[in-house]
Amino acid sequence: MIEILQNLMSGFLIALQPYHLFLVAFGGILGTIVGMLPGLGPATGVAVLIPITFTMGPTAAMITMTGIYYGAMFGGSRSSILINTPGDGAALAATFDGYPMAMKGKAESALAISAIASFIGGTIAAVLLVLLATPVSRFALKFGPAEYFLLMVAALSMTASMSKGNQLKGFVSLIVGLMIATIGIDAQSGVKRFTFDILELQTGIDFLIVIIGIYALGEVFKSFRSIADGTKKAQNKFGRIWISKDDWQRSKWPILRSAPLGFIIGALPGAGGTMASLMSYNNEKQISKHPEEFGEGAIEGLAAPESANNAASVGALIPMLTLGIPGSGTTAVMMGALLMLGIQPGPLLFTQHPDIAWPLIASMFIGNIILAIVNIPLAGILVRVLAIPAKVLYPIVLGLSFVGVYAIAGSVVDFYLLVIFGLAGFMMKKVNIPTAPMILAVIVGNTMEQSFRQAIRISDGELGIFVGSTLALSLIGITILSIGFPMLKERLSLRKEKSATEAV
Amino acid sequence: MKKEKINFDGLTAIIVMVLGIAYLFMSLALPKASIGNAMDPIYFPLGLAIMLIIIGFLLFVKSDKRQIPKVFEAMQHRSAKDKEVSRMVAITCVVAIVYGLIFEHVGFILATFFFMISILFLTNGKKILVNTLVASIFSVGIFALFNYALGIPLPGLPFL
Repeated sequence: MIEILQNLMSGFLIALQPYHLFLVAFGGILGTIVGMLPGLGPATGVAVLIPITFTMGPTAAMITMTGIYYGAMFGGSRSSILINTPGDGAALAATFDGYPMAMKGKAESALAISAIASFIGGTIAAVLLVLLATPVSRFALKFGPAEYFLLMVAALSMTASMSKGNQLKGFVSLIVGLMIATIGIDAQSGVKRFTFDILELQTGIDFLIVIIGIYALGEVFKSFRSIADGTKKAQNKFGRIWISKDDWQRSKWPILRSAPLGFIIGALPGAGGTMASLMSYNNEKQISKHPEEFGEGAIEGLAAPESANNAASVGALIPMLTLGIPGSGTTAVMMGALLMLGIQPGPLLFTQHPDIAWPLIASMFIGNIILAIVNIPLAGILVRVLAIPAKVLYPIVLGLSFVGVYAIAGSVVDFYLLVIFGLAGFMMKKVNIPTAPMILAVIVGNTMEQSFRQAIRISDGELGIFVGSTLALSLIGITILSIGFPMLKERLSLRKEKSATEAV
Repeated sequence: MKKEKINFDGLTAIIVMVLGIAYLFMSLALPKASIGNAMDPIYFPLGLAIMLIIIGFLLFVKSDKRQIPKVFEAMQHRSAKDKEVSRMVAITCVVAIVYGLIFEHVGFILATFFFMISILFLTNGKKILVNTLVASIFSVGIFALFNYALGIPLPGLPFL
């Protein structure tokens, strides 16, 4: 415990340096701007802005990205409240009561409570992260290659299974992602795989290209729709952005309840912010004394999901930082950026690079404070800047994607790959194939195959190594459960539907 | 004007299976490793191919096959907005490819200016002044940011 506090203190000392403070604020504001754009969320924000961190050094880069991540989370709910268009899935629940509040002339309280709830939720979750990070990574050190392989299988299949709507399509996305990861020279044997004799493909397809293609290009393509629809006008004149005492009384418990819930859901691979915010919304609706007010502008209906959402975004960092397995699109993007900087997240991060891990955690606390400051008094100004130029900002996001991709390897071949993945992302969304499992698979694909082969080599070709320990068996159990449970649920709801129609 | 929701699953399943089979053949055709177990680099891709084919098959079995011809029908009668979105996406891709083709010949600033102004005309309409201004500031600004502030060299102008 004392050790954790010491580490955290030294983290704060680094994160509080003026340069780093500036970076958090800078990243936060940029992230807020991208997050406010309809359709673009934190994953896009981080993906597009990664290039600015390339030459920063790992600590500064991570701190900037935390700022972008949080900023985009805060920004996403701005557009939910003001124009009823969520930045990403996680901000969806903020439209249920946030937009009705704005319609009733309470935009000021809505903006304020969403920032306050996000701040409290994020801070509580950061405390939980501090407590859990070290024990989890110590535990993960016990994993051998076989267990590590199974852990990745479990995490990936959870992500694919939880994909909303269609489990099978989640697995399609997952396997295609793993296939993309096999492109390039195989590191263990030197065999060229699926390179089609293209020189640039020998080193494999950089996951950042897949990420930027799917999250920046694909999302902007999708958002072209909103240009075709015409833009919605946002309210841009505000009174004092703050909440009343009564508002606080109503929302304080929902906020405090939703934070730990969001954190736990966020830490599970695949569940993430969308599920966390929707669950906490439903929870509050169920225990509320006035459930009929939900959807009509109940302040607790906005406070709860906002708190859960931000807590989930912190929780999602647990598997990424301590196990090296990202559980969501956004954390996958951040992990991609870390790998780019030569840092391998995972159990060893906390022992080998405490100088990166702890300032990162400390900067989450600071980022939360700075973003709350930026988002409450300055919300009016930020929103005004953004009310006008979505049509101008989408091209800028596109431009930045191409520059970013060029900065990775200095090759224009990557431009064409970017277009291919952008189109793929756009098409996948059209036919309802989730993109997150593919991104995760591209990132962990190589490590996954390597640990599989290492395990086989250790056991001299015996597959028995994969069922050789209790840990391995329980991971297999989790995998089977994660695949079986949604299937069972689907069956049950089908049966219910059937009996309901028969009853009519 | 109620639009029937089209389900793409049947068609998706077929595409998935074709992809799986193609990948299966490509995996089988992979060169053998000259060090260690010759089949080592092939097992993993092989497994992926088989799983993808199985999942594609399951998806096909579960899907409503009558929807497959409907997808093609629906493609012919898309709404004006859908067509507009597809047109914008297609133009963006073409502009991006041209961007890639001219990038190394005319340098970052000119190529990016071309890219930005084309996309801006697409999204923002014929606001010549705004578009030119944004495209110029973006291409020069990003060049300066990367080259001087971030230390990531970009090919500048061809005649410099």
